[in-house]
Amino acid sequence: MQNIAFYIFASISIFSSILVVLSKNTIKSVLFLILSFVSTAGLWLLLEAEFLAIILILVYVGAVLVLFLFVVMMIDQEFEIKNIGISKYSPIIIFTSIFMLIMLLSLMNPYTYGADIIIPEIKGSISNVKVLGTLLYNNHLFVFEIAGILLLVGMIAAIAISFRGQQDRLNQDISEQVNVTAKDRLKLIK
Amino acid sequence: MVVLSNYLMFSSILFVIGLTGIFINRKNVIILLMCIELILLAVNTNFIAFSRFLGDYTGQIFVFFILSVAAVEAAIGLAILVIIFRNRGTISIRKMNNLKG
Repeated sequence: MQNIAFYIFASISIFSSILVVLSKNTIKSVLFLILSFVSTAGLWLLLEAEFLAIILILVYVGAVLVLFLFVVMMIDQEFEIKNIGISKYSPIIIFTSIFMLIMLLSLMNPYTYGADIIIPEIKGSISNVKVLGTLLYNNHLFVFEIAGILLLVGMIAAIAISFRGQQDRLNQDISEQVNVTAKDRLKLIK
Repeated sequence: MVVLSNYLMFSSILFVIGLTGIFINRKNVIILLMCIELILLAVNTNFIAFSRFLGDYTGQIFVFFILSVAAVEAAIGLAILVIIFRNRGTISIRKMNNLKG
C-alpha cells in the first residue's frame, strides 16, 4: 500500500516538474509547479511529517505560488514563448545534466542507503506537532526569532523595492521648500 | 518496502530537473525562480527522509527554516521582477545586459 502511494506521488511530482521546465506557457508551468508541490506534500505525509506537509500546502501553495501566479498574470507579456532555446550550449547542458543524474543515482543506491537502516518505532502516540513544538521552542528558540526578523526584513525590502512614491497626489516636498532661496521666488524689475 | 534510497533518488531527480531548468531557460526569469523552488523542495525532501529514517526530529526543524527563507527569497525576487518589468517593459534575460557582464 505504501509502495503504491509512494510510486504514484513520486511519478506525478517528477512528471509535473519536468513539465514546469518544458512548458511554453508560464501560467501552465506555475500550475504544474503547484501540482508538483501537492504531490510532494503527499510524500511528506508518507514520511510521517504531517505538520510540514500541511504547512507546505497551506503556506507554499496557498501563499507563495499564488503570488507567483499573481505576478505572472500582472506581467502580461508573451505568454507563449517560442523555441525553448536550442543554443550552442545545449550539448554541454545535456551532458552535464545526465552525468550529474547518473552520479547522484549511483551514489544513492539501495545498497548504501537501503534496508540496513531501520525505521525507529514511534513510542506511544506522540503527535508530530507536539514533538516539533517542543523541539522548536526549547532548543531552537533563538533561531526561530531570527527567522521572524528575517521575514520582517523581507517584507520591508519587498515594499521598499516596489514602492514608487505617491503618483497622482499633491504632496509637499519638504527639502525643496527648505532649500528655496529668495532669488527663486522674487524677481525685481527695475 | 520503501526504503531511504527511494526518497533520496526521488529528490536527486527533482534536483537535477531544477538545475537543468535553470540551465536551459534563456527567456524567462519567472521560470528561473520556479526552478529554484524545485531545488529547495528536493533539499527539503532529503531532510525529511533522513529525519524519518534516523529518528531525529531536528531535520524537520531545518525544513521549517528553509521554508521561511525560501518564502522571503520568492517575495523579494518577485518584487525585483516587477520593478524590472516596470522600468524596461520586458523580463527577458537576453535584454538584461546593462552591466556588460
